Amino acid sequence: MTQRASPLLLTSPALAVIGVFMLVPLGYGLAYSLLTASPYGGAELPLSTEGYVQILFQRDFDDSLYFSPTYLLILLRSIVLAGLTSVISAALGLPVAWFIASRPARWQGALLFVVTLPFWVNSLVRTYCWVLLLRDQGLINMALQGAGLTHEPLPLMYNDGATLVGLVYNFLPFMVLPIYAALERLDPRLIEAAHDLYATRRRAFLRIVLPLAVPGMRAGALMVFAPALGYFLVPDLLGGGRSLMIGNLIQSAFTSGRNWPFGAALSTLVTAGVLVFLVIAARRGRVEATP
Amino acid sequence: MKRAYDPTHSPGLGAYVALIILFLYAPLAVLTVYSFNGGNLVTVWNGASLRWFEAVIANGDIQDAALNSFIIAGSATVLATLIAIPAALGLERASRRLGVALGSLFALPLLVPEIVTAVTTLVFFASIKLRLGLANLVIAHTVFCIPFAMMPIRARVRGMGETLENAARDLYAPPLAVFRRITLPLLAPAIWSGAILAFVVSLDDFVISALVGDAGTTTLPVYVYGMIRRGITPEVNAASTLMLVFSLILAGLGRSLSRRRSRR
Amino acid sequence: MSEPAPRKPIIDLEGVSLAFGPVRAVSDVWLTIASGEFFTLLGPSGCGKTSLLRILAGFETPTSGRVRLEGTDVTTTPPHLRPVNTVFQSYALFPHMTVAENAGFGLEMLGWPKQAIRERVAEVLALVGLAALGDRRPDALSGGQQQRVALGRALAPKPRVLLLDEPMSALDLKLRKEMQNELRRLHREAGITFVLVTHDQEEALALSDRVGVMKEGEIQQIATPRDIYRQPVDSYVADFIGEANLIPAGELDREGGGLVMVRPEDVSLAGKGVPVRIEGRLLELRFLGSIVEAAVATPGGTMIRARFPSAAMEEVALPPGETVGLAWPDAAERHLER
Repeated sequence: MTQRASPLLLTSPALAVIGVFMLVPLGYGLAYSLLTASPYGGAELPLSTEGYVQILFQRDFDDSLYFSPTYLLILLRSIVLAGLTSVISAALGLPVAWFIASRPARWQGALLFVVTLPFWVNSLVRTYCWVLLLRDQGLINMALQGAGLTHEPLPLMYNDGATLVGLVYNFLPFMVLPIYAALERLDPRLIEAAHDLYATRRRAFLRIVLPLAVPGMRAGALMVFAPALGYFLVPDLLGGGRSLMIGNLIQSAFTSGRNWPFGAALSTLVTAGVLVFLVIAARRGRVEATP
Repeated sequence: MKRAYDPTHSPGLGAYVALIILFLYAPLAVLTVYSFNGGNLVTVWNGASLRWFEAVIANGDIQDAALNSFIIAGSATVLATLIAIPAALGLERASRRLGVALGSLFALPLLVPEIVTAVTTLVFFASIKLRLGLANLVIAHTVFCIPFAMMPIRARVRGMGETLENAARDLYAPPLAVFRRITLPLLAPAIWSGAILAFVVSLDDFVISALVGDAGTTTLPVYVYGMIRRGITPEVNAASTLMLVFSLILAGLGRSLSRRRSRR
Repeated sequence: MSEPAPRKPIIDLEGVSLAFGPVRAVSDVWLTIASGEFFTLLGPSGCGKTSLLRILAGFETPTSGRVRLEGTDVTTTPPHLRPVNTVFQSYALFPHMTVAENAGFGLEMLGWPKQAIRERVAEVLALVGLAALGDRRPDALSGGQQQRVALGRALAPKPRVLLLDEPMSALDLKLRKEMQNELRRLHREAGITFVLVTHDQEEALALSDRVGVMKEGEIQQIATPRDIYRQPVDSYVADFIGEANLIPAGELDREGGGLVMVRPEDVSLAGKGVPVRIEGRLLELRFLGSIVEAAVATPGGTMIRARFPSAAMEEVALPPGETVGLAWPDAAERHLER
């Protein structure tokens, strides 16, 4: 042990880069959330909590505050959509993961590759594909009208449903992988044992496979919920103005809105929320892992 | 004929998985087919043609954006990999506490929502008045590439254990020779996987490049996003399809590398 | 406690301890190993024998105490500067190198010229019976062949001491017997000191000049295989090496407490004219081919096993439940304090 480079020395370049260009910027974000907006973007002194106040309130002409739920609703929509994305991905992904895990070993790698391949495709391209499908002149509406089922294009885009479809499409592989990792270790003899003890196929799945898949689903939810919460492209391209999520709100505060403190306040709020969620989830996972 | 007993058999599961695979691939297939449309309108089929691919390849702005993307992705990948190799070794050698603390810190770029990383980096660069053009984006990309470059290396270091390195030390190899002759060759496939992953993730990025970059540093996704915003055209389809094909090539490369590793 | 080492000492451990936090893996070990000796550290898993071997190899630095190699203090010398080589439990063959490259690695690191390396590798591979397989990768070899590569690789640099960490634990029984013979031959031919770590007492007895029995980080007894078996210092050693009947001295009307140890093969059913040591109820007679094993429960609740040749069975055809007398010669018993 005496002659080896120390862990701190080996990790110091990573520590420096992530410290200076990730941790410090997060600190700057926190600091900016407590400043006053400059008229042309950026922020200046004096210190102010205006950025946070604006999340819940707007100012009347006479400068009095009144409660405005607009941004709160966007926050809630983000949480609900990210949560639904996790749940739907888990529900869709569990049978897929189980199917792959129960194939012969030589097939598993190929099947996993097939399921995860779309994840390699650029996320802009992946999201754009759904624009081609869902828009008024998109393939689905053209097909429906061509078949004479509808005369007017159905409003498939620019709503929460479109955003949800896009999010699930983007995050499904992230859910399949960890569930597969959990089920891969499942010994088929456990199911034989369940059948031997008079379980039906359905009950064997519910009592043996499902409980063993739960840790995988929890890991998957960690990988889906947090990134989905702040996802930008999908709500931007598919949701439009009617299905804004917090990522769009932050982006517009820093670009067209020119209200950096407000955007920084939202960022700080989201980051704090996500980190608290992750810490709690990791805690719970650890507690349940140690019986 | 009655099926032989198979504990893992579930009726209908295969069909369900086929449907999911259809869900995953059909949109990509639709895009690809659209991009071969020779007409000027996206929705009216006017015979198969490579015309829009030619237009994309001849488009100087797209060429510039693609070049920017490759410069950024290439530089960020090299930097992130060089940083990730020692970091992965250090993390696995660290005490439990230190390992968990540093591991969580290095995972930060994965945990913090992308949009937050983008705006805080923007704020930071603006505050310290760092205006290095492409280099600004290289720095930002290196940060979020590090965890991706590190993941496969860490897994490999953990799987390798210390025994082989100990065996080399026992056979009179000084520390540098242990690293060069044993550690590095054994990590090589994982280093390549990590590098490919980092490269793909860097090419994939839109949000950070869009917010942190300026007029001269437009990357391919940022440019194509602008095209989409201006209107759905056959040229967008062709550009998207080219990006799709390139991603698939990288994915295939990554898979063949990981297969070679698993054969070891 | 330790016997005088027969030849010139090569390894001296002076009060060596190793602690991992609050856990003491090795605790105040004093041990001298003679040059050319085949020494075995024997004990159950977790007894500290592997930690002690890692201290000898230089992978662990003792928390206290000294390690001397041929008189030189090497306590803090890193492994690559010690003339000691290890055969690892899982062999630790470098997967990206051929058999010959593996075998030549140590020589290369020592800076031998290429030609000399080639010659020595050929010599070593011939010694371990793998002359034809130099170009293979380790994963193309069977477990037994990998074991031989590991041996050849460790022997190639002509170390002063060869350390073997459970080298046969991954082999099946037949191969293990074969490798035991092989190890004895290599020890004879190489003429260097071997230190073997194992939990297999049969292996330890069959191979070693001396055996050190370990328990919870301490060496309980160091002696020749014969003495370890016949004269264990305590009930732990007696029980770990072979099978032992441990009878409380009080049951035999002896003074002073403690235990009396008798090996099952020394116990017989007392016939006419033989003085009975203790009486008990016969629980069962088990026919095991060439021998018969009797299990007898004494009134004090101790179970005593006796083993005798099947031929003697004809004379003692007794039904279970019968009260029988047990006998053994004076020389067969040993009084243990604990």
